[in-house]
Amino acid sequence: MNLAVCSQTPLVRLLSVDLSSQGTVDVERLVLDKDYVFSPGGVTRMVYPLLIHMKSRNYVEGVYWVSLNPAAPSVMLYNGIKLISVKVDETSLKGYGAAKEHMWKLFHGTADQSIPQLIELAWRDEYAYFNLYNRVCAETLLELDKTEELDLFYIHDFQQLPTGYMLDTLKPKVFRWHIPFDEKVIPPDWEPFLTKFLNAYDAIIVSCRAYLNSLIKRGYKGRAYHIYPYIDFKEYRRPERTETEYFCGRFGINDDDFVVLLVARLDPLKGHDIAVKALAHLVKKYPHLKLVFVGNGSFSSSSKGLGLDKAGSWKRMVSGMAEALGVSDRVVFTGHLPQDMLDAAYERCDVFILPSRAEGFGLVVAEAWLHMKPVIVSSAAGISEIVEHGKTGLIVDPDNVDEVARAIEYLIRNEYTRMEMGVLGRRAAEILSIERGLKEEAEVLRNVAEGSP
Amino acid sequence: MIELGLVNVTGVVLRLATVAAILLITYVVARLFTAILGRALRGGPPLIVDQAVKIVSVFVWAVGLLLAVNQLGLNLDVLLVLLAVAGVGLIVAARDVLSNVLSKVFIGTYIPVKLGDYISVDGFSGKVVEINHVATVILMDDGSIATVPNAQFVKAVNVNKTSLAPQRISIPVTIPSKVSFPKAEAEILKLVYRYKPRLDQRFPPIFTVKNRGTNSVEGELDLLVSNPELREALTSELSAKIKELLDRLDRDAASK
Repeated sequence: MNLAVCSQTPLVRLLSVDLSSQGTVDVERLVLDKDYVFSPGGVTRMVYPLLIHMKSRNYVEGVYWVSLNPAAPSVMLYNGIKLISVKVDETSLKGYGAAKEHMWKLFHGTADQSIPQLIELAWRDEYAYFNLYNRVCAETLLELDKTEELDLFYIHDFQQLPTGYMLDTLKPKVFRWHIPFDEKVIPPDWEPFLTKFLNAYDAIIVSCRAYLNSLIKRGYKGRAYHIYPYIDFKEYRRPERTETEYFCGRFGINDDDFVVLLVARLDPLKGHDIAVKALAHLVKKYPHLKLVFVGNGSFSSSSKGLGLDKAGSWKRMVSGMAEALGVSDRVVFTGHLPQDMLDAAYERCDVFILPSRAEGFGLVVAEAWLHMKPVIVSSAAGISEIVEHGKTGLIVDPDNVDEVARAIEYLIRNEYTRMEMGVLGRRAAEILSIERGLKEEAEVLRNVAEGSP
Repeated sequence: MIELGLVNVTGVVLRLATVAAILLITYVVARLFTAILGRALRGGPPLIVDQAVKIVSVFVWAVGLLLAVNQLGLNLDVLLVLLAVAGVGLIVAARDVLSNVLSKVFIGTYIPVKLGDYISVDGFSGKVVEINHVATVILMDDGSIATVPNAQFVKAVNVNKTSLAPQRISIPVTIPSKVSFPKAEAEILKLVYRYKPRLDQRFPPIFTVKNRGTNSVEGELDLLVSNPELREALTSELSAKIKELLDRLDRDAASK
């Protein structure tokens, strides 16, 4: 079977080298972390192993990754996958980015009144450019189909939703919705507009059971599945003591600090501000409390992506808040960390926190579990569905800073509970193993491609 | 006698050579015409394209044969009468099919019926599951299928029971291949957004591709008017504006 993946996020991003004018570039001839990086984020971290898994089992022959990559060469090759760059002009890209950001906020339920509702947005010029981006993706996929005889289209995330409707082919189309699909924030009057696009797909996969129920309630009639996101446990290891010491030394973390870790990209949705406010509640009583933020911007924030400076402005806002609350010396921003340093951060922390206002899933909680750490998880995160409150973690309301602070304090005061939660959390993480996820997802794709029930 | 005989043989050979040349030219012209027609109608329904190509081929061969017969010095009058009768017979025989094919053009644009609508026509009620070039297929409430010739939609009264049908507008749009399709679509959408106050704002416009040819992409722009009485006026105005826009984009593309 020949499979084409379409996602806004490119699999790899070129760094210093300008090869945009070249025809086909073999990425493996370039140097990782010098010439290119593997794009961070949930889509690439899940879909790439899935493709490799399917290739290794001969489920697929040709694999194509079509994504927005304005500064990249038209075609790149990476580990047997043909990467095809979608390019749109600057004006269209800007309009697309603006519409996409509005939608992101709307689907996460964090849009304020200045943001138009979805139907209103679909009458604005930005939406015409959002539509244009999707049309370019669809046309690219259809052209690819002419030469490569594709058997299945696998489209990823909300910003690509119209792509399936635009693929005027009877070949099967599967959509994976990565962000929350919550009936509480998707009003019924969006249904006619959304279902027109949703029902163009033969199957839709969402990240948890709650989203699946919402999807069906909002009028999706095709095959619907929930598959928990997954990670490769082998990528995480317990760091050497020296590595952890290096991490602490680099970021000014002392032996007697009680470290609360938050790993997330810098985005208002992730609730860095909630963590800072909770810290301010506790710091007088627990002066050794330290909040460590790991993460940077996303593809949308990057200068080679959409160029939206979300991460920078959010960092300035959170830093300003920490300063105003008198806790700036207790807050550390590490930026993006390579895997060995990330492992050290998990190893050193005492508690992991994810206070997101909305969160498609929250695989970082699973990462913390792999390091046997107790977790405090927002009830708005998809992963809260598998957190057993009081056993594998604590579930908190992200809108209630007192509750978040109480949860941190509870874990500061109960060392045994922290250890016990870490052990139970490690067991709970098994459900998020790559082996399970790949098996389930590959089965869905094969069944849809073969027309099996 | 010998001389006369030679003249006759030469004349006969010349005539036969002329007939052979005419038949050869007819063969070439028939192949050429069918190839051109087949290419021009590539996006059309295969059955109808096939029939059209056959008719053109038969017509070219009929003309060729008439010319060839004329060269042989035979009387053409009877043959011409026979051909005329056959032509009239063909038109009479195909008139129902032709009227159905022509009626299809009006369905969707001037006759508000679309796939998925619940309609009642000619005593048959049900959901429209297919609109092809000859007939509209209705899935009736008892699960049976009614095939209503498209011409019935022009001749008879049909009732569309779908709630939004009176408001719906479908504007056919042809985007030439010289123009960037995604950009043209974006410009069309932006143009339609300016008509927002006169449209039902719950339903933003959506463009759907219907056919892809070598020279163009054909599609349909679906909208809902806020006031059903404005349907026709708005359809005409928007169609004209979209045509104007596409002509401009076509000129711009040509000048580049």
